[in-house]
Amino acid sequence: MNEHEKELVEMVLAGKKEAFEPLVLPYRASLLNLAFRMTGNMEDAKEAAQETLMRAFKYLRRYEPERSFRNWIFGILVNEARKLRADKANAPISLETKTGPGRPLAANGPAPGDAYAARETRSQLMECLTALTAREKEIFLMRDIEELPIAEAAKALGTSSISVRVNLSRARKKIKDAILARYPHLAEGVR
Amino acid sequence: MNCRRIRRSIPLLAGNDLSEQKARRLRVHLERCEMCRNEFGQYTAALNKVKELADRETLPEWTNTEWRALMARTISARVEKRPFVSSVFWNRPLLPLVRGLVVAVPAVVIGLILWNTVMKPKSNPIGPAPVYVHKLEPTPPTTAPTRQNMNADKEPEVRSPERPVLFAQAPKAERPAPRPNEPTAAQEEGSQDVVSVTLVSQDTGLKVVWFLDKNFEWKGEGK
Repeated sequence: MNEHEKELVEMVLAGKKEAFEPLVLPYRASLLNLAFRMTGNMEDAKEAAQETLMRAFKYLRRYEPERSFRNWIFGILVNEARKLRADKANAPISLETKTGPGRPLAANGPAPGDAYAARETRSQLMECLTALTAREKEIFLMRDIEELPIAEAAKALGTSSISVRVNLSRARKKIKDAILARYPHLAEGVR
Repeated sequence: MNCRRIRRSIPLLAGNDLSEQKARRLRVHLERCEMCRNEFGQYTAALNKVKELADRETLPEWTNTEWRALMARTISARVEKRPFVSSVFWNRPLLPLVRGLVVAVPAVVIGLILWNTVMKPKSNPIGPAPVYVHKLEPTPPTTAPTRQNMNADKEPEVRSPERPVLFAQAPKAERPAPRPNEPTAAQEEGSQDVVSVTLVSQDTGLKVVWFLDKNFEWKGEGK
């Protein structure tokens, strides 16, 4: 943690709430990006990132100054994204509200052409990430996209370094296969 | 190292996540093995491509209005106060001591319990022989046997069937005269003059009753 951040944290804890904005401003974009890659859609990403900032403010006293503030806030984000995913998985689905009374199920879904177009507009990276499990995706994003050290990634994800290494190995293998399937010339190039 | 083991470590080598020593051993192998070298090249190329895609990716951002509204909402909340328990142990140097006590105290208690359980002297599993003490009703003095008359008179004693030998009473006449310091009969009213002790053999079931006076002088026995 740099000295500037340390000062800002102390100011917030001393009661100067306005110091919170300059503290989190450097992570404004990266928080939302990471949330988007984890959740897969913008609506959930904004919700997770907002909740992260609010929790970071509320529980700022629990922050340990020897840790990187960025890694600490990323850890909160991972938990929020997990919570959101769990809530969505447990949410009951009402057929009536989804389709409307008397309407056939297929009439409410996207047309086959629209689905194809949506898949095309999705980023290449997001397509590759769909090959990973939720756990592998978290670890891959933290280590290879956000470039957190393995020990920090383990702390942020609440797991051991060994578990991070094992999942990271698997994730990289799946990503390699997905990338080579899309860009076969990469495999040719290394020979 | 064989190729199979090497290939398990290649994904981590491609991201520089191996120790220096292990990475050096793997690189030595890669120089000699073309298959593993190709595998490593594919991983490196794929990871570079992912980073390139991530950099090129255009992601939506918060608008300034959204950001300002979010910040206003965030700082309108209150920062959590330090809980009492954590404030007691907030002083970091005390933490190892507290953790040590948390482990040591239950260990000592468990140790003491085990020590008492193991080292306690084992009692006789059968238990002591039962001793029954009966308070006897006063009876005429002639019914109580004494050592003298039992030895002198060998003839079998005639007992009435409805009065078992168990209920014998030392004769009041035989009581020695009270000394000046001894309590008088009136003072002793309510205390018993003769006690009987019943001994039962656990093996044979044989039961013997001894009669004793208040000075624990043996007065006789019954069955």
